[in-house]
Amino acid sequence: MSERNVTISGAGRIEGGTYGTVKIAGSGKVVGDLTAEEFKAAGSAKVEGNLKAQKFEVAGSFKCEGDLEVEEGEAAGSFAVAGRLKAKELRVSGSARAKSISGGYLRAGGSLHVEENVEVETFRLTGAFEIGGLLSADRVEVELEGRAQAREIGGEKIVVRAGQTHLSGLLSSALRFIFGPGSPRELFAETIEGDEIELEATEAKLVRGGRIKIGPGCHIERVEYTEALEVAPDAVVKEEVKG
Amino acid sequence: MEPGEELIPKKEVLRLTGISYGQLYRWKRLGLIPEAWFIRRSTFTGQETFFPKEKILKRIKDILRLKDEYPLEELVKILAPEVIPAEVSHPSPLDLPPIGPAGKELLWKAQGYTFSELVALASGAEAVRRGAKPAEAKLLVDLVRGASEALRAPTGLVLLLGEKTVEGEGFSFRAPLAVLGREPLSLDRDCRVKVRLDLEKVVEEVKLALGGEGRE
Repeated sequence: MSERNVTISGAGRIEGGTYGTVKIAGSGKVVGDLTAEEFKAAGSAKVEGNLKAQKFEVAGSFKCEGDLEVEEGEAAGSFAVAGRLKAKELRVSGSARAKSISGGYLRAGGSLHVEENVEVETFRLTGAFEIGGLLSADRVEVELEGRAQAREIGGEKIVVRAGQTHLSGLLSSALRFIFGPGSPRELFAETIEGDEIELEATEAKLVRGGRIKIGPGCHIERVEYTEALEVAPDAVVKEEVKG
Repeated sequence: MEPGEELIPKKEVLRLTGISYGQLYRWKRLGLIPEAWFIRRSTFTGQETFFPKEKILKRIKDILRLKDEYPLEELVKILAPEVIPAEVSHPSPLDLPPIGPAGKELLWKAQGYTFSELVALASGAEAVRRGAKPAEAKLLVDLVRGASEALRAPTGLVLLLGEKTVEGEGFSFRAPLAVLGREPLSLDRDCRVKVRLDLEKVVEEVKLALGGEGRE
């Protein structure tokens, strides 16, 4: 591994290539594909190419025009990847965008916007999301603080809860800023499939799986289950099928 | 998918094989079940996912048979090398039946061929076996080498090797041409197709040949 390190403080640009540590404080631009052991940016960073980093930490505004691949990453603020995002472990807070996301652990707070699929091992989100394709994970845990939408959700265990009204701290003010006060907390999906499913405030055409709990505020066209089904008194399930 | 291929709904796949939703989605995520096999169709209850019946049932049987012996990531290399084309390499491609001696003149390096490169060679070699000249077959090889992304989802892709006759006043010549695309493909009437290959079949043959080498 090359141990070429580079630091920008103020404003500057970095040519693509292989680096040890890349640090940007202020405003920085990377021109070309870059591989680094560590990529850290605070302020505004833009990558005109693909970025691959083992450790990745950005705060402020980050934009990548190509694909982003990280082992362990954290992003706070506005985070946008025009290409595919691949991460073993990633935590994002604020607003995150990508064409698709794949990997291991994804924790998101705020809003997540993905054009295609999100396919990870664990998906934990507090906030809102819009996923154009499939959201799939062994465990999907969503705490709704806004509007959420995915074409399909599938995995082993899927839990959707309507968020608590009394959120405190930065996240709550960020969410209020993004969605406005009193924005509806609701999840929309065509299909939700899993071995264990617990839903609240969800509207779906088809929910299918082993053990299913349809909680308050749900409106489901059809539920197909093999083991158990519980429906909350104020939930609507138009059709139930066992087997 | 191929015409006439029998489809099976997702629910039926789970019922027949006894696997869970968690397993199905996990295997899809790892690439053990190719994206192209998930076929979305409208039914009276809304959208439903179907699979090519024979392929999905065989793949699940293979996964269930091998999953206790190998970690899942390793299984991907065995059952779905197209997912990680750069991580499979083979020292002597000519020993693989889908390539064989017909591929001899198509080689461009001594060893270390990746999966997509092996598929490229196999496409060219098959064309040679069907009567193409090595120089023409090389067009196919280059075409597939440059399209390794397509190998991840080769379903429905065809490779054509043909020639185009160009006539002018007092001259006429034939130029070879190679096409990678989805049927129905239309070529102008001065073109003649000499070899037509189903890319998915080539991919499957290379996989089988690789898997047959002491892996099971």
